[in-house]
Amino acid sequence: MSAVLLSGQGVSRSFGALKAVWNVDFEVRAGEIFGIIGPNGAGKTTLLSLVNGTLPLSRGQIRFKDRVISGLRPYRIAELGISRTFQVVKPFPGMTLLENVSIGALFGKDKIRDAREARERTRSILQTVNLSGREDVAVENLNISERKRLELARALAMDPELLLLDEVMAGLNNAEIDWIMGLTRRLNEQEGRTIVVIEHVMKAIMGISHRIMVLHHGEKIAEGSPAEVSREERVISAYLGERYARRRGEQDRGESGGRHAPG
Amino acid sequence: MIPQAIGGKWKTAGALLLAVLALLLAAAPFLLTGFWVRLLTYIFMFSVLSSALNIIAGFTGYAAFGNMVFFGLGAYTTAVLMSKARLGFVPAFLGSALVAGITAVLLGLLLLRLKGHYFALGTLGAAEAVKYLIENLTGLTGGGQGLTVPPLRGRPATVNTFFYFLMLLLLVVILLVVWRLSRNRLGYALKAIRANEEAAGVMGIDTTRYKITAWVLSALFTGVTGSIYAYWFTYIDAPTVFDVMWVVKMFVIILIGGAGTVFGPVIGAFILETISELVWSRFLNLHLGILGLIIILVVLFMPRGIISLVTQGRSLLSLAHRRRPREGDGR
Repeated sequence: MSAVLLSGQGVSRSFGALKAVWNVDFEVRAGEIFGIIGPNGAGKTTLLSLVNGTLPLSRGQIRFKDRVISGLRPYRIAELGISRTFQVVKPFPGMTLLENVSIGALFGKDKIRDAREARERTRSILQTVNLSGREDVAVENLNISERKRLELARALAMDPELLLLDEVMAGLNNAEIDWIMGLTRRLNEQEGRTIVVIEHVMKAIMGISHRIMVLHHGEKIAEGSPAEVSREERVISAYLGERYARRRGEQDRGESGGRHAPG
Repeated sequence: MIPQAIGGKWKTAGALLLAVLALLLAAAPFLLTGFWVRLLTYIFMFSVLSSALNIIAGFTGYAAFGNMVFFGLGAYTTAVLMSKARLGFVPAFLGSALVAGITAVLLGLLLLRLKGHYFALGTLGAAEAVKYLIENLTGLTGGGQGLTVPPLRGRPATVNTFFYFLMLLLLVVILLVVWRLSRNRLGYALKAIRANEEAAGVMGIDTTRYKITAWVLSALFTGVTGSIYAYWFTYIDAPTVFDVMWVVKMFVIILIGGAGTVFGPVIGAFILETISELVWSRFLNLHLGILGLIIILVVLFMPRGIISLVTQGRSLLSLAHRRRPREGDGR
């Protein structure tokens, strides 16, 4: 088993009385694609924000490699080699696509000092995310698919060891989703990046993740391989409601002799 | 091919224009009367001040309404060092830079945590506080009486020429700095902070450090302009050198010329000062009204400043030229 790259112990964050993320322990191993799923409001995005420092933890600790990163400011965490994309894309308006992505190369893990060298790096990344030829376009004029890929390109330009993807597939059509899935796998297998993915598109996240963690109301309710997780009754009821889960359980018993009967 | 040829022509034309401009600027003080030389020096001064404000307000997006605090401190440092400590202008000038820079670091650590209106108000408050402090340090600053600075000796024409070239030199230096800034790492960081500070942090930009750097740069140039002002006008008092109306004027200049651009503030300063000189001499009672009208028109019809006419015009032109070959080989 490969080494643990990112881990959290008792990670918690509350907003007033709302426990957005509560007492979550997790381990992301080097080289894997780690999926996080859960219904709306489960705390997935909050968890990413806790990891990359945009939100401070209420309790608990997060470690990256052998150092504690909870409490560091976001730019320090970025420098260490963790980058993220935002669900609601946050391009820098008033700058071109090339300039937007160059920021990642200039200030990410590698801190390329020379603006020209940064542009070269940027061009190759734009090729990776299939945005070549759009370098000089003002980011305001990009469509949603291009914006999602811009978000991805900016994170990649920082050359992260750990890439946190927050719903990069939301709002895309099937062909685009397939393409992003392929890209995610390539980034993982060929470039050796460890990736944490949040996604609502089930076929996508089940298809690419090596392991999956399920959050519900801020707490971890399941963890394991995609197949394991999708068999968990708690997961099914969290997603589809308890009535559906019960009915499904009964159906299963009727049809196949209670193979998946609740324990 | 074609765009490159066009680009080359633009470059040659630009270089030629620059050479002619440099020649004209160098000859001006020897051809013009004292009035015009002083007016030009005044325009250079406002170009420098507005360019300095542009670094923090235009590039970084922090409306430093209290930027006069650096001008005032710069002016007073030079005045005190020259009149009380009997130092020459050069050490006084450097002293002004030092005082303005240190003040910017301290104020920055305090105020750059604030955003938007809160930052603007915070800087105004700081400027007022420093002004009263200066006014009440009567022993050092002369209080409400102001300070007289030992003047530069020489014929009026020579003195005028000296300050003309000093201010012009400062303008050239700040334009070079801002030009560099518009295309280097620091500039990228500032523009990212202006666009979205949270996202900038996530991308590895130490926002606090860069914001303070920007404000220190702005303060250094504002402070040394204050220093030159004190030596030039030979008399200063707190209500004048800390006057917030100066900053209002700088903001208008930046708006007219184009915020966050290299040459916008210079264009704005030339236009505003020329118009206000013309209007002021003809319509003594109406001139503020006419200026207000101009400001409204600019904001309504050219919200990105007059310089946008140039940049947009050029990008349209290059677009037209770029499109042509593509249509040619269309299959």
